[in-house]
Amino acid sequence: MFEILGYGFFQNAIIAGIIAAIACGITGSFVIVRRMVATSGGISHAAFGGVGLGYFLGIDPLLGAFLFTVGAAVAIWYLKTHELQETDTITGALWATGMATGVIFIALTPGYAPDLFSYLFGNILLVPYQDLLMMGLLLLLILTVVSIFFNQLAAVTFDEEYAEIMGLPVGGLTLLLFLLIAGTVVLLISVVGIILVIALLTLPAATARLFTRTLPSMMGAAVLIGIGTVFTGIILSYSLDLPSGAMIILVGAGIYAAALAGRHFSG
Amino acid sequence: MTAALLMEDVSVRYGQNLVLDCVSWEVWEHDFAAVIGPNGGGKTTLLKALLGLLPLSSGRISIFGHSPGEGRRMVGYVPQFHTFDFSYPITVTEMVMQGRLSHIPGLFRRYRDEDHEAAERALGMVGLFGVGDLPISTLSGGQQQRVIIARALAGEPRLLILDEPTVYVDAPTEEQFFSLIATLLDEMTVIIVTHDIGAISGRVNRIACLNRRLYTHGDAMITDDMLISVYGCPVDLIAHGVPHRVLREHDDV
Repeated sequence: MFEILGYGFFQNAIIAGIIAAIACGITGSFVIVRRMVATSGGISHAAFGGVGLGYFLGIDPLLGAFLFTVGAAVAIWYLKTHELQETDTITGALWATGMATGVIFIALTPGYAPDLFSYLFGNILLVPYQDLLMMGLLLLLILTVVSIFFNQLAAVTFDEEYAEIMGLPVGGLTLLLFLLIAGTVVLLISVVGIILVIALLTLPAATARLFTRTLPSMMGAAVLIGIGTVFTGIILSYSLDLPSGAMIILVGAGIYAAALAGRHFSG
Repeated sequence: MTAALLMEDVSVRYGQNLVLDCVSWEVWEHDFAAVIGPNGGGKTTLLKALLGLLPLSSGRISIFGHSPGEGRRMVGYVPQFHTFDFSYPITVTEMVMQGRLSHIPGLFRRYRDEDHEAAERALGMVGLFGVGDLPISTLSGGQQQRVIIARALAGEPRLLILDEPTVYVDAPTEEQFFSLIATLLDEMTVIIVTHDIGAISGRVNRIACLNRRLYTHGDAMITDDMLISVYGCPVDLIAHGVPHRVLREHDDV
């Protein structure tokens, strides 16, 4: 089976997987410690509206997804900080509205929507080269933002009220967290698809949390677990001829379950 | 003497709801002061106003002669213990250093050597040694409470404000807590906000009762009149002279 390493599509898949794993290890750690899993679910499902818009306008569906995730992040943040609604409620509304918008756009688009299934459930073995470039740039942006604001993001995710008392721009930092999620979601769509994004975003970080004691070590471990998860998932997908996105998620869930069981039974 | 805190006719309104009504109070430097009052009496609002997190509808607050926003760097705040997520992956030193963030200039807010030193000093002040590199989740409840206090002390405050510090804390921990506060009073002013009258009575030198309005006496005595005004009915207090009696004797035994 090592002959697949020589194929261009496989090399692209590995590069896409590593980029996605780094992004989801870092952003996912913030999502886990700040308990933003539901918010991330809302933002990622809203992306489907953007995919539909992409088909309708004839532009790259990933660009449409980017616009919609950023829009959803800003909307959730605005409604939350202005205390108009519970984050929970807004998230649910955006989740369904985004999906519905996508369905309508696709229905309005004449002809057949190619690759639709890939956007929903991912197909890392079909990631084109130009998507890799966009993913790489997005990852660079995420890494830059996190390294500049790390101390402040850590303070806000640990104790928001105290961060405000310390004079940190809590509103802006919260928006930044939501935008990090939006950017990471777009990165992950090619890998596991809109429906499964939430799992890859959270499983490696949740696993890492079980045996790490600081946020940076949690992020490092989550990145490594993520890379291992994606790599194993691709190999299994190829050798068993099963969908890659679903295999990656099942591997991630398996590792999480094993880590939980290991901790549980070792006391 | 310098006024650590000066409140003049402070009112705060949420919409139609008047939460603080013409509150005036003075706390002097090195006072150990307490604000008591029932839940919903405006204690949280008062705290937020003192920390400059809330606009006043009218009146003025000054902390060592500064507005609450400006005075914040002189204030150390200890929030309620049970609101904390102690499973968060962070070491004791890192958590305490977050109390330095208001002193660190620049976009990056990188911790400097002096911030590490201040965190070590603060941990020493609360009597925690050799735990700096441990994650906060591994400490006992009493140690965790002292870490929260150390975080406030790391900012080298002149005024320490504590929200319900004795709630969810067992009796030995409460004793340790008050002896710790006693050692801090040489260097700073301490204000406690609580509904736990039993815990603070006999320990503080200034008391105010808050239930929308603030009722004060010159000294630290809680009078029946104050309690009736604040709670609407007399509240049985543990007699000061009988510190170990918790319940009243039964008449029929």
